[in-house]
Amino acid sequence: MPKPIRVVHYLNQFFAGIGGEASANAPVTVRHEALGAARALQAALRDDATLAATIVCGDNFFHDEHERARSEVREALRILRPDVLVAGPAFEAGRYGIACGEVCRLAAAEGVPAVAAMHPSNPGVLMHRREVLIVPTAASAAGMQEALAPLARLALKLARGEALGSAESEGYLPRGVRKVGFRAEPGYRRAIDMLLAKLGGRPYVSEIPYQAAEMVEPASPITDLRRLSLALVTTGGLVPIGNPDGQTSGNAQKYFRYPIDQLQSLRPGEWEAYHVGYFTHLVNKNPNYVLPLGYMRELEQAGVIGSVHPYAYTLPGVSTSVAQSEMLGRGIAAQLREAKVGACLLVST
Amino acid sequence: MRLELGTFPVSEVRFGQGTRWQDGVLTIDREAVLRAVHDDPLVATASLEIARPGESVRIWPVRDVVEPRIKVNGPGVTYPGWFGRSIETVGQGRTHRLSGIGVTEVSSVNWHDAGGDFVDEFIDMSGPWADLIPQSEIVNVCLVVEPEPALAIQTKNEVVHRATLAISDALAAAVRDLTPPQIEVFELSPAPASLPGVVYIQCVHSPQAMSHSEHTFCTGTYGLTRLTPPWLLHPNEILDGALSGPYRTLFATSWTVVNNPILLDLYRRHGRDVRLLGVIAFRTEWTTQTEKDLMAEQAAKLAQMLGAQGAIVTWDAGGNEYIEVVHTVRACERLGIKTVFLTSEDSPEGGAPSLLKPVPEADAIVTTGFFNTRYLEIGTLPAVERIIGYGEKAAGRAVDATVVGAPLVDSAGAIPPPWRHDDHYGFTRLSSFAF
Amino acid sequence: MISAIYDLALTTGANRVVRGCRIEHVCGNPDLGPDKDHEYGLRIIRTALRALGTKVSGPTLFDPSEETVEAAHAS
Repeated sequence: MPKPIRVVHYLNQFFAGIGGEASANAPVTVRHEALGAARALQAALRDDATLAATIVCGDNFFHDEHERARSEVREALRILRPDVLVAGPAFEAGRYGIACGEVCRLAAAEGVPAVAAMHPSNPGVLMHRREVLIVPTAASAAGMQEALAPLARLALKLARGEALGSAESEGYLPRGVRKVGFRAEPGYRRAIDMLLAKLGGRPYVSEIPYQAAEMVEPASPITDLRRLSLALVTTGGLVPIGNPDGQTSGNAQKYFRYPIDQLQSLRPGEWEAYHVGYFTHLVNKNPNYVLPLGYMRELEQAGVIGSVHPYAYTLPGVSTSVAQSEMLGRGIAAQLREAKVGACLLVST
Repeated sequence: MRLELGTFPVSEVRFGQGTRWQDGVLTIDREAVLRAVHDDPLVATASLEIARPGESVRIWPVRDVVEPRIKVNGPGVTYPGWFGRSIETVGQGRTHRLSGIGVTEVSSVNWHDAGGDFVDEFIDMSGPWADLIPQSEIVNVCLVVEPEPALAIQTKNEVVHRATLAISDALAAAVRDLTPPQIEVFELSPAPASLPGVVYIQCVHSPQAMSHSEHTFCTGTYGLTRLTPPWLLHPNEILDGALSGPYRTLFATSWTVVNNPILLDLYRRHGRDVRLLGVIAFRTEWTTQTEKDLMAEQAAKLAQMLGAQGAIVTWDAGGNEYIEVVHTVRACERLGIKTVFLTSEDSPEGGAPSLLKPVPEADAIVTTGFFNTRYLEIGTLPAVERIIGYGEKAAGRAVDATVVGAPLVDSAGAIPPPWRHDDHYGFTRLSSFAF
Repeated sequence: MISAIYDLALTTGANRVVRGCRIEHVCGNPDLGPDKDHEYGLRIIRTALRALGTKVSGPTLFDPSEETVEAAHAS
C-alpha cells in the first residue's frame, strides 16, 4: 500500500480556532492534529491524505517577530517533513496572506511543495504571486468551502509530484509565466463565442488578464540645473557611421556608449540610426533628433545646465523584450549613478 | 449588395495543354499563362512550379499568396485598384473562385529599400512549420519572378505583383464560364433587430511610416497602401479582394484575407446570432500620438454610427501599431460597444506582460500565442528535398541580412522557422496559457 | 523621457514625459525649415529641463507648446 500523503496546514490564530484579534500575537505552535479550518481541509482531502499537523501563528507575531517566526516554522517543517504544505485560505486578510506566502516560500526552500489560498486583491498575492502557487478565493470566509476543493486537489497533485497544468485549468493565480499551447477551438471561433457571451451578459474568461504596469516612485526634482551633469540616452539605435561595434538592428542584448565630450553636435555622415522599427533616414540627416547634443551644448554654453555627461548611451529598442529592457536600463542607470550624473534625457522612437 | 460566390475546389494541379478545370483537377497551360507575364518587358525572368500538400518542399521567399478569383458579372474586377486595375466598387453580382489553391509570389524583391522591412517568410509543405500555417494545405502554384534589376524598388514591386495577379486572373478565367459545384450567396439581408449589431474592425499595416512613401507596395485598400483614415467596407468587397496584398507574415496574405475565418463566420451567423453591420478597415502605423488616437476615436465613432453593439478587432502588425489598435478597442468600449480583441503576444520572458500596453477596457482577449517563433517550441525544421525559389537565405532573421557578410545558409537545409508566425485571424488553435 | 507616442511611456512607468514631434524625428521637425526646426528642438529640450526641475507625483506629460520662448541665458 502506498505511503499515505502527509499534509501540514499553516493557519493563523483565528482560523485555527484559538482566538480572534487578541490572539494575533500568538507565537508559533505546532499541533499534531487538525485544528479549526484544518479539519475542513482534511474533509476535503478525504482518504487521499492525512493532515499530519497544524502550524499556527498569530498574524502580528509573524510580522513583528519575523525572524523568530520564520525560523520556528522552518524548524517545524524540518521535523515534520510533510509531503506538502497548505497555507490559508487568507481571504482578504493582508497580514495573514503575506505570512502564507512567506511560509510557502520557506517550505519550498526546505524541499516541501506548497500551495496557498487568498483573495486576488490580498497584498500577499502582489508580493508572492511569482514564486508561490496561490488559489484565488472569495473575499470573506463565507468562501471557505469553495476554496478548499481546489486547494485540496492542488495539494495532492503537488504531493504526488505531478506536473501542473495551466492556471486556468488547475485553478490557481497566474504566476507571470506564459507558455504556448493549443486550445480546443481555433482562435476565430473563440473570438466570436467570446463576443456573443459578452453581448449576452454570460460569463467569459479573457485569455490574457489585465495586468497593471509597474509604477515607479518619481525621482526628486533637480533643484539647480546649473549644477547638473546630464546624460543623453536613446533607444533609437544611433551608432557611429559604419556601426563599428556591430550593434544589432533590434532585440538589444547590450547597450553602447560613445564619447561625445569633444563634440558640439552630432553631424550627419558621422552617425547613423541602425534600427528596424522606424524610418531612419531623417535621423541619419540630423542625429540630434534622437540624441539632442546640439541643443544641450547651446544650453551648456549659455550656463543653463552644468554639463553634458561625456558619454551618450544608445541601443536599438525595437523587438527588445520587457525583461531585457529592464536589465539594460538598470545597467545604464548604474553607470550613470556611479559617474554621479544628476539626470538623463531618454529619447525613444 | 448581393454576391454569389461560386467555388471550384481544386484537389489536383498539373501542367498540360490548355488551362482548364474539371472535376477538381486544374490543368495549367504553363506557357500560355506565363505569356501575359512575359508580355511585360519589365519582367526579367518568370517560371511556374507546383508545390502540393505533404510534399517535402519549401517555398522561399514568399511575398504573397493570392487565391484566384474572377468577376463573372457585377461591377469591377477582383483585387481592384492595383496598378491600373479598375477602382469600381466590388462585391456585387457573381464571383468565381478556385479553392484549395493559391498563386504564390516568389521573388527576391524586397518591399522597399528604406530599411527595416524584409521579406522573411517561407512555406513548408510538410513538417512542423507546415502544421502551423494554412498555406501548407493548399496547392501552391508558385510564380518565381524577377524584374529588370535597374528598376526603382516601387516599380519592381509593381512588376512582381502585377505578374502574380496576371497568373491569378488566368487561372480563375478557366472557371469563369463554368457552373460552380458550390455556390454561396453573401448578402447582409435584413435581420431581427433583437440580434446584436456587430462590426468587424480589421487593422491593416500601411508601409508609409517605414518607407516614408505613399506608394510603397504592401496591403492595400483598393490598391492604396498609404495611411488613410478608416474605411467602411461591405464584407463582399473583401470577398472580391478589395483588401489585399501582403504584409510580412503568412497570415497577412491576400489568400488569408479573402479566406478570413472571422469575417466568414460572422457573415454566416448574420441573421442567426448577429447582425453584421460592416467591416472597418483601419490602416496602421501612424507616428504621432495625436494621429493614433484620432484614428481610434474615428473608428469607434464609425462603429457607433453603424449601430454596433459589439465589435471584433484584429490587427496584422507589431510594435507601436499596437497603440492605435488597443486604443480602438478602448474607444469602442467607452462608447458602450462590447469588444473582443484577437491578438498574438510579445515575449513572455521574465514574467513581464506580453502585451505592449495594459488597457483595462481590453477585457476580452483571445490570444493566438507568441508571434515570435522562438517561443513556439518548434525547434529546427527538417531539411527538404526540393526548394522552390532560392537556394540561399540569410541565417536567422532576414534583418540580419542588413549586416554585411551575414552568413547565408542552404534554404533547403535544416533551418529554424521564419521569425514570425502571428495568426492574425485565428485560423489555428495555437494559443498561450498562463502558468 | 522624450517620445512622440508619449502615452505608452506615461502608462508603463515613466514619470516625466515630454511630448516629442514624430517617431521619425522626435526632437524637431525637418518640415519647418532649419531655423524653425532648431527653435522647436530647443523648445523640446527646454521643456525636458523644466520637467527635470518639476516635482511630480506620478506620470506627468510636459508639452513643448506650453514652453515660452526665453532668452538663452539663465536668469
